[in-house]
Amino acid sequence: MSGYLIRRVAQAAIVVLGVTAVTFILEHLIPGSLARAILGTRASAAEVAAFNRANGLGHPLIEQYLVFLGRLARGDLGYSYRLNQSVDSLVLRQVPNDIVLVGTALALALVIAIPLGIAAAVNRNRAVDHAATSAAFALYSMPSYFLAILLIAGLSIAVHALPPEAPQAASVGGLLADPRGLVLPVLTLTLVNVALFSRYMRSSAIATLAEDYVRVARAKGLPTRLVLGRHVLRNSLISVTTLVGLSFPAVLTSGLVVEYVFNVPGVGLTYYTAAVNADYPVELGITVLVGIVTVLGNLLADVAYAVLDPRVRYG
Amino acid sequence: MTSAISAASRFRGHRGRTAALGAALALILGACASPGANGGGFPGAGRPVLGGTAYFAEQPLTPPTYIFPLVSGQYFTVTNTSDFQTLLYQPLYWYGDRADTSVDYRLSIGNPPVYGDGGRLVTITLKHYAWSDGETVSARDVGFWINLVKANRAAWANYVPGGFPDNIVSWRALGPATLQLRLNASYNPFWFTYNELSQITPLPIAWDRTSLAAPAPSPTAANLPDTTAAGARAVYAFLNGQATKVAGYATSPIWSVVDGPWKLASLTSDGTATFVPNPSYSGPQKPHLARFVELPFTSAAAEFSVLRAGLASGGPGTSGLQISVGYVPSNDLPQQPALRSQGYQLVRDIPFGFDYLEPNFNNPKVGPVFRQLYFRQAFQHLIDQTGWIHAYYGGLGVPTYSPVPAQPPNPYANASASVDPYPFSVPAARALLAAHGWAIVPNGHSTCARPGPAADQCGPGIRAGQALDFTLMYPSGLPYADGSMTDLQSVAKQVGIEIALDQVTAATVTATILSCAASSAACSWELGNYGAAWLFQPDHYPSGDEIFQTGAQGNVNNYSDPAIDKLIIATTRAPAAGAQAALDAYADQVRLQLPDFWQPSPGTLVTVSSNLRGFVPNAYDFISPEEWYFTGG
Repeated sequence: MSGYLIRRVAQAAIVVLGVTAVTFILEHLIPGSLARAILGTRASAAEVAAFNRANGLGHPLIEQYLVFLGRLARGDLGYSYRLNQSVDSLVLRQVPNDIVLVGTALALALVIAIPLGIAAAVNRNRAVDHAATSAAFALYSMPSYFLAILLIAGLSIAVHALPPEAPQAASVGGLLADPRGLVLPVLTLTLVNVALFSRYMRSSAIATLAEDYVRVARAKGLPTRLVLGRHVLRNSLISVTTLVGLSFPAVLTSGLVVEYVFNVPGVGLTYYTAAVNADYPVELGITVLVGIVTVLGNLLADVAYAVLDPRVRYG
Repeated sequence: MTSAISAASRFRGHRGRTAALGAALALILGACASPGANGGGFPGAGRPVLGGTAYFAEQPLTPPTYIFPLVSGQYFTVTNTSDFQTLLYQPLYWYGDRADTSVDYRLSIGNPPVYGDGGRLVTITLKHYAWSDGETVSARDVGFWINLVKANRAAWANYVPGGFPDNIVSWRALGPATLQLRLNASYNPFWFTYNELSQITPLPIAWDRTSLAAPAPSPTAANLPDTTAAGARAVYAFLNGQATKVAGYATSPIWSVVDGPWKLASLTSDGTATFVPNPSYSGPQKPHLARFVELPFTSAAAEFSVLRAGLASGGPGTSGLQISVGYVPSNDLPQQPALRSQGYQLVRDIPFGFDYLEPNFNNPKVGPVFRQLYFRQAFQHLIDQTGWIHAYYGGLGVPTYSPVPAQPPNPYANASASVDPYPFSVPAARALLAAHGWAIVPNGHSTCARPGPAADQCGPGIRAGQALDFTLMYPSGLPYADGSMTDLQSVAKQVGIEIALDQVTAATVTATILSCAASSAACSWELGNYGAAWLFQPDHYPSGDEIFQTGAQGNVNNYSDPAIDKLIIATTRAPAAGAQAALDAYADQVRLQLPDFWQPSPGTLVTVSSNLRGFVPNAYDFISPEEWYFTGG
């Protein structure tokens, strides 16, 4: 297992390095003057020259990339061209927001989707299944932006039941201190994820229910509760585990729409804004971070397979 | 002979009066504009209530990020300059007398400047203003600013080669409150006051140091660091370094020395800025509010949701704060009745500026076409400004007919600024093209049938069979730009002009639409639209020296006309008595010559809480929350 982990971590480092190289090159292939994009059309030639000098933009691309890697090795993700702060501080401040919002939504979605998927599988082609399937299709086909606006229009503007924006606190404690403000953004993310996870869980559970060992367990007279809990649930979770593993980077990126609509400064929106505004250090820094989390998520999913399925062996 | 600039003399009715009369009038008006006349009072209706907290919506994703007024282009945003720095550090002159474009001398530190020696000498006297460290705002503080800018031009967003401070030969403090500037030429005093003196923000001498460890210097100390170029560079480096510590702004021994009506109480990392009244403020307009809070938003949609949800969603310190002064996103303009029914006052804000499309005169392929005046006239006839304002701007825009726009009301625009010289007319466009040798193919490709330079031919550099095909680059995410550019594409087809629309990010537009040599690869762009107007900010005089003069920084589309250049120079150099005539001559020519294609200038619809008074949009988008107050009962 440890050998496997070492190999995976080494592979992950190469993947992250590749991602940074591709992103770095693509950023610099964008036509036009980066300095002008940042400083505006009225910038003087002297100001443009000073900006290029200060940011090393006059050096060859490979040299700039190596400087970036050198800084990265020291844990320095760079300094935003526009926000007057380091990318490290930006990310450190925003990641907790995302973990609270997206993490809570993911956890809630799993809590709802897993039993819902099993219930739909057990009651396949009956009313419960039809209702769950219809709801899942409706939610999954609905753009999350639209869902968010609907929730605000209904629950904030029409009946004034909940705030239209997330808590405006700078700390996790502050966020959690205003649970009413968390309801709509968490609900938006949860509903979309429930739709996705419950469909996977249903399919997986249907396949598991048809397995011989489930039939044997039933034939032995094992109560349904135990059949579902011990045999169906555990084996059906494998496919959902893959999804959850892939959702790790989503903690950082999938919040974009929610951050946009509910006024939460988070990594997803910051990344998008950096891309639109040519704020390359922020773009690169978040790319590295998301790359690492993606690889880590996959790694954890692989480890979880081993835990869930004893047949899985790693050399 | 001397002349003075006064608020009253800005109006056209006073144009051409003698300079001496102008000076006398300025003195009289200066005396009238004492705090008791209006300042410190309550300009609006309703029973005023002292105290309370007003919440102001920042523009999406542009929180305050830089406090030092000597700001570089990176941090040159309306939020930083107009909504943040000026609340703390007062500029020498306050531009925008409420909705008017004139200097508001009542709110200015400086009395009206007095020009002498044929416009080469400017004498400025300062009113009594105090820094919060107890020192007086003095001529030396103005000199400190000039010294810093002179030594750090490349770090300053407002620097224009040849402009301030290049045109200041020297400065001299004639006394603690009197400063004299020696200029390198004779300038139009209106131009100099509105474009050059507008660049000055007095800085406290407490900032004239290179480390926090050193004690704050005394204003009377000799040989302070800023008096040498090397020293001024070191001071800038120190202050810029301090300005990177955003989290410490409110407690910084540097940034807490203010002369404005407000002190910064806190600034969160996400951009919530809380101001409280500066108890040492010695100006005329003391705040009525107990607190002023600027709120950050991740999107206009998020801001609008809070507006629509109103008070019921929460209270201070939690999510869902009421917004005292906010804005309506352009795609939500149809919701005005709902906002009114919530009690919001809706205020139109049309900043002083104009909007245009950029044709690239140096593009090897389409440049020769754009260089033909008849073509520019034909193209302008295809732009339905009134229709666009109605259909795509939600009625919130003003047409551009002149580089000296008629709206918002200002003392510079003449009668022709309100007249469209090339009204929307497809037949007129078709006739112009046909008369100059183009074979018109509606909904097809019109081509040049009669190449050559004669009056009835296509024009020099245009080949036989050349089609009228252009690529128009504009930023995505702006509904009004989207609608109007699609309309232009559709209308142009009617005369056989094919416009390919290229939606990109705003940063890409800015990075691409640049002045260029015809031979360079960077000159491949053809038509551009920034999606934002040219605003007379930070230069407030509507002369064209920064946008239409050959080689000007803002002249990104490579327009060059020696006759226009002469007219522009005249607007900057004319004596006071001839200033308006020079401006008229320039505006009348440029509006007809079409160095750009005019399009409507968009405005903003501002929402103001039903119980808030005193808010008036500033022509240059500065805010003055010290004038705001709540009403009760």
